[in-house]
Amino acid sequence: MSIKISNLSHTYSKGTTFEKKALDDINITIERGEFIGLIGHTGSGKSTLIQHLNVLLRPDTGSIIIDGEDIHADKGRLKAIRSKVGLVFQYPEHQLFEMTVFKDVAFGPANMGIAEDETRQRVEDALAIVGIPPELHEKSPFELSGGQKRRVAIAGVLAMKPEILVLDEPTAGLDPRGRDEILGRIKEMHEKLKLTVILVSHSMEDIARLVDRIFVINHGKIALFGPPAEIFAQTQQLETIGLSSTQAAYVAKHLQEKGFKLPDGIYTVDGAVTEILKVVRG
Amino acid sequence: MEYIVKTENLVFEYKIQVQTEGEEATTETEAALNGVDIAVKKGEFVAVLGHNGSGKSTLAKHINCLLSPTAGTMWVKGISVADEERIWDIRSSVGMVFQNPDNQIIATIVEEDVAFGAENLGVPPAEIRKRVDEALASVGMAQYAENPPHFLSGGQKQRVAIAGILAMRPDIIVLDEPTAMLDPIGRREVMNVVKKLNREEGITIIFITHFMDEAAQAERIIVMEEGKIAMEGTPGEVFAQIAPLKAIGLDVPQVAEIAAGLREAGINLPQGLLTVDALVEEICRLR
Repeated sequence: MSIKISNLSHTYSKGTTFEKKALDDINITIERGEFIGLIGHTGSGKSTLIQHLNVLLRPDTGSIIIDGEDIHADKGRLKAIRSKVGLVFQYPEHQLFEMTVFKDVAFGPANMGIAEDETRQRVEDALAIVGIPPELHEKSPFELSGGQKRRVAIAGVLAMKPEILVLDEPTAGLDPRGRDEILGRIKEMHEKLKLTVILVSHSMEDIARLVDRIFVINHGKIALFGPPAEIFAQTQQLETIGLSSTQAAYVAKHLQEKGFKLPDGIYTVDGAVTEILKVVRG
Repeated sequence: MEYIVKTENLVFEYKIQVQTEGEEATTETEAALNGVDIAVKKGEFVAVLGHNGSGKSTLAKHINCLLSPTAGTMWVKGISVADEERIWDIRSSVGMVFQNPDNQIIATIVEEDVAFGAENLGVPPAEIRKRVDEALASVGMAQYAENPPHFLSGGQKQRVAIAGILAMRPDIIVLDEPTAMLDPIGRREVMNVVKKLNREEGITIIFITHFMDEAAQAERIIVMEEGKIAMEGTPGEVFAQIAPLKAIGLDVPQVAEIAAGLREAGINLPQGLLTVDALVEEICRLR
């Protein structure tokens, strides 16, 4: 399952005074099973890009090829593509509506025409992997905590058995425990279900812990891309586009500037501790 | 010592209906606040930490009488919140900013939105004009006075919400996770405005957040857990307690974690290192 995005451009409200070029010649290739971080400030084009991935938006020019298929070519294939690419929106818990947690998660697969037995199995599996215990299945989703609601909403997407999971700011507004719980579950889904994951986030710390590769988007273009160690070392460039690196990366960089012989590419707490110990102990 | 906000054994209980299938619904009482004692000095900048459901927001809503205590007492500017006749004196001294910028703006033009609160207080028009201009300048939004708010970024909207409160000339601003929905630029903008209002205009700030780096910028941190105060102290004191904080589901800034990791390995570093610069400086001393 590779995703190949070529020369993708999208302009909103074309031909009006509100015309805005949201994506400008994007070229990205993502391999099967990769864990990708997508960073950029509000209005950078992140959400526009991910909405193209399951054909909520159509490109003005360019194409997205998933598994050799141009996803925007045939309208008859929409349903198949949308079940292959699961999109979890920001604040997905606002979309919960059913009487019980179980029914809410079952809505997607039932809608796809999946048989009842199979649906039941999928719902149970999906709720298990997001860590919602059976005793909550018959509760109203509105009785749950914020973090639990969000995990139920993610289960609703998982029950459709996507091969690619795209999450837009899945930790926004959660407390640290809720955030760790969600990120831990996403990591598990990536590893156990072999999903290709695209995680959109403002939190450099979250991204740093999880992803294989990062794309930084700015003004509708890819500004930087590479593994976390490379991206987080570019503190200056990140700041110019209104982002920042992790505190650990700043500590390492400032120490380097003071003449400490630290290697490049430190961006986590553990990495910083290990490397600083080596140099101060000589 | 004059305290602008003070509570004694504050308790807030609410009732929930419990419905199990095939049985009658029963009512249970839960305490969101369970004996809270806080004292905030005039002009102080206090951050409140705690996971969801720990009672932070319930406490915040008591400060401008959106909720009234079930038991215990609370004074704002020396006025008891139980004194119903003076509720408006309290409400006009305490401004609140909430999480979602889109839920707090009601007018179609920025300056009209900022004027709304002051108009409601019956401030004369000429005075309102003056206050609105000053408030927008204070939050760095003067150039957007005549713009429609829906084209602003989240950080800009929060600053407009803060300006609306400033136009009411409050003594205290309570911010309940004002940066939770913002991107890094928006978070920085709001944080800078809040610090400036505290420093330059002497406004008392009570700042609820899940971002440890924001709490690290306050003078004092109060940590809540299960409706009680679990910890209290300067950011240096609170963030030194990494294990207890993690046990109640909170975090510490990365810098504090790096410092703790180095200390554990036997490196001699002082307590209370919370900023990149402070840590780098101390490591340089080791040479």
